[in-house]
Amino acid sequence: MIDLTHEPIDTAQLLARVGDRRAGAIVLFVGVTREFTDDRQTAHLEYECYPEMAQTKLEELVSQVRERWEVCDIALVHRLGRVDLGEASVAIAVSSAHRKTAFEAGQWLIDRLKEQVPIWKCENWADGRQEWVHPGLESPSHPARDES
Amino acid sequence: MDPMHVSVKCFALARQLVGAEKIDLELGDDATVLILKQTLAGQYPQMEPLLNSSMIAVDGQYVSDAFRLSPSHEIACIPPVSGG
Repeated sequence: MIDLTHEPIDTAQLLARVGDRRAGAIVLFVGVTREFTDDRQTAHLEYECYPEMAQTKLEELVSQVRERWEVCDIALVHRLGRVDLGEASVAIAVSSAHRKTAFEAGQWLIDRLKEQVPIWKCENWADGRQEWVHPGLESPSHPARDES
Repeated sequence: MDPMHVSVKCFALARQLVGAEKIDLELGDDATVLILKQTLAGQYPQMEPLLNSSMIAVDGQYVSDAFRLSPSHEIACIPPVSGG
């Protein structure tokens, strides 16, 4: 299951989706809106995506996970639009027979998502300024920044 | 050489810099992605720093500078992504 949604993410539903009698472990990763990045304060985030390509890329990544690891099931949801502090912007659930597989597969999937999938966040800072986050782009108003 | 008309989808800061979700360009009929990027930078100089770190996607796949474009392709400028 892969979903791009403007609605709040229901992590309980995600966990239920990957439930499987073969599974001995379910790993759930949830990315949430952080208030402070270094000393800058975030009011909220806004996400946009290139819908068709984001869906295709996510499907490719999930297929690659299934080729590399023996997972039982995978569910992934990314939120779009406004995401308030503490709310989930992304959630990934992976079930597998043993925990190591689920941890590795889940980490690989979120790392690749952050590198490859055409989704962007816009920081809406507490001081009222807005700033698209484009890692590696060198510009005074868009400094390179660390991973969330 | 007949010109080729393409449109390029823009997202995030790219969309903000050009002020549109899609821009139309005229290219030579044997144009590559590199020529597309050079044409974009020529017509929208404010995009140049961003273009230098952006990828071009054709029909939903990232392509290299040497990729040859055709008018039927769906083309998008993909600035460095920041999902998650």
